[in-house]
Amino acid sequence: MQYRDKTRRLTLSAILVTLAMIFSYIEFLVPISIGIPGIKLGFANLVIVIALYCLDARYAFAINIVRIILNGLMFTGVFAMTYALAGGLLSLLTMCLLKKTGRFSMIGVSMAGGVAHNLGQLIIASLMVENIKMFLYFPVLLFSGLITGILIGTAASVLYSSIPDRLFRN
Amino acid sequence: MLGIKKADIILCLAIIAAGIILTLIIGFAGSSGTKVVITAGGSLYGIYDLDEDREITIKQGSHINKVTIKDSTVSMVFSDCPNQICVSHKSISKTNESITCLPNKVMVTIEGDREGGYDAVSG
Repeated sequence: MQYRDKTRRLTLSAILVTLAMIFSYIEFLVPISIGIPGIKLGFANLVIVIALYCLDARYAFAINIVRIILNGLMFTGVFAMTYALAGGLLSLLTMCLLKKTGRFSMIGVSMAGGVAHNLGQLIIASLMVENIKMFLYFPVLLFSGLITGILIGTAASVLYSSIPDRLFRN
Repeated sequence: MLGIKKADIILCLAIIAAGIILTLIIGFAGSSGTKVVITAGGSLYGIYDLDEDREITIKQGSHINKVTIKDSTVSMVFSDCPNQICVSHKSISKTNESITCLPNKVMVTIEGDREGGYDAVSG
């Protein structure tokens, strides 16, 4: 799916930002806790993966940054925003690179994105606490990133192949 | 529809392998410790004996955290931070295990080897 019309792409980006914000907000309101601190599904990433494939990397980056900043200012606070930015940017960068190689499916791309997201947050966390021992927590985050990445990737892949083209085209 | 590729599976296995190796490395390093080290805002706040039951209150400006040492396990019993992740963290007792309160920048780590390691001799 490629959208030639610039206005169309802008509108779609705005819709995706809104959708991602709603997902983040729902997750913020109803945290799906599984007993391990710092782990969540990251629904908003579903939108980002879709944006990466439906539009392109530049739009995905813009959508992601706008979403994180707006969410930070409205709901989570500046503190959580720093983490979200680090995770979000590293994750998206990894996904872009992996997508560019053309060897990975959406699930693989999203999987790496999930792990990179957690790595980014952990780097910021150890900078904040000024203690490298934070990395002892890395294996837990590695597995959780892998699992959530696969789940999001699967959902994105099903969604991507079933979005009818006519919804967005003339 | 999903179109899983070979590279996906290789990447997945690589991440799992990395996770397992890291867990093993950390697991082997983690025998039960002797000291509870608390850092606040990046600097050392205090070192306490793991075998001695006590409650420690960490005050930094307006932020308060309370740590309890009981039966050689350590837990964060109170924090005035917004997310309360540190309070819900399970109690720790092994070397290199830690509880971190990110909003208040408090980190509780267990150090020292019980089996007459370097730390026990020197410290």
